[in-house]
Amino acid sequence: MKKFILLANAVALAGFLSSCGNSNENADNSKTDTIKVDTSAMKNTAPEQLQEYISIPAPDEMFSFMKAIGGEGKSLTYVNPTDNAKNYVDTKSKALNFGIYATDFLYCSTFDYGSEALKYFVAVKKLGDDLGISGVINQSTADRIKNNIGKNDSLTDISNTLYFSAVSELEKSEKASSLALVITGGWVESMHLVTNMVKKFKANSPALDRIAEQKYTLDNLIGYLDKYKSDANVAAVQAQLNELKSVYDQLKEEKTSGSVSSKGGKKVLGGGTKISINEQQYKAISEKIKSIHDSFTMTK
Amino acid sequence: MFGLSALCGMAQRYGNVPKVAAGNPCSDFHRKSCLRSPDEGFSYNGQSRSGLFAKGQQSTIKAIFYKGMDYHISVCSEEQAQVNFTIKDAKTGEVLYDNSTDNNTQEIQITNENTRSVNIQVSLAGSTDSKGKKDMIKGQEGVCAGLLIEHRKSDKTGF
Repeated sequence: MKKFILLANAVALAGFLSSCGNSNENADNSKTDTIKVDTSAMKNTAPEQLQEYISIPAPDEMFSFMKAIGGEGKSLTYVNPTDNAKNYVDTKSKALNFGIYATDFLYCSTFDYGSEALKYFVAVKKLGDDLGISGVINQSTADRIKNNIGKNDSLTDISNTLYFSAVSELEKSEKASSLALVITGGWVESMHLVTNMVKKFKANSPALDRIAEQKYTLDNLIGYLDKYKSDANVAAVQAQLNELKSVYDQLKEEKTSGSVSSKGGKKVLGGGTKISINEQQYKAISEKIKSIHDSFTMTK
Repeated sequence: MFGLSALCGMAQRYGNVPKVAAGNPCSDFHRKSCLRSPDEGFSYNGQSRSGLFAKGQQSTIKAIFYKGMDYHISVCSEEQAQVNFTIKDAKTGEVLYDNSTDNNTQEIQITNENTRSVNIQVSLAGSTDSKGKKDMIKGQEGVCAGLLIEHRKSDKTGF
């Protein structure tokens, strides 16, 4: 096991990871000032060996898209009440709800709820302090929020910066399983909010297409969690997402033909796979998302 | 075991690692060094990465590109070492783009007809002087390399 961990660290160091310590096996290592390097493991890592990193699109990509198509259905009804923050006492619920509140903060910033954004920042800060990443969530950020209430673009920038800084900080401090839970909380919250924006099924609507296409993001997210499933909290969350995946796997996928072309200075990647969703499938996905979401935000 | 501060201090002394990288020799390298799109409306995409590359090493980023979005992708490395990258459809393995067939350009803009799961394979063609970090990572050469992705909603075309 030790050898495997060391090899994973060596791979992480040499691979295309954003952090020295973002190894595949370091679950919540509290030693933030050390790095494990094993030369024998290094020697076993052939230069041509392929390293892999799974990326998950951040919630802002979903929200900016929803805003660009009109932002219909936006509401504060479905964000997680900030009063709940004090009730998240265990590591799992703190990490999941850090991701959820950071996503709510972004949602408020994106959809013109500037005055609410500050409340969500406070909730993010509380859980961030508990997770040991208070360095990126400071008073100057709070001041910037106060000074930019009513300026949506600025608030969105601030909330995005906060989200990415928190992710980066968790990577640096080798809190891999916490990071996995934060990212999961953020993705589930974005899906919860967006499925509640799209109350009525309308075939081929851009919003529903985007929800259907989350099949790929979910696949990546489950693959990402798989690397940290030795952590019981991560394994439990992964099992919940696998239930959602079984619903998503019923969506129809149709291969389309096409080629790569150039247009106006950009490459247009044609072809690929079109995913379609029907009303029943959408209902099933919405219900499963709600069920998972509620299990994350539930207070004891 | 090395203390991380000692490791980064060693790297900084040799002058090849950004001094901002207190906890990671390549932390946020892509944000600081890769070209941003000159066009308006692009936002930072969280699927961007940085890392320490050994010569000849290839790494893959599994990412999602949504339809209806434009993506600006740029790669960069220390000492201007050339970065090669390909974009493959993760499902079929089809090569969608390869910068070695495009004058080794280090930045492109793409858009997709359908949402795709892709594998972005990145490799470093070589480095000019990596002596310092050769020591640092125990016998392997390495330089920081980055992949910066930005996104924006595509403009509508046609009527």
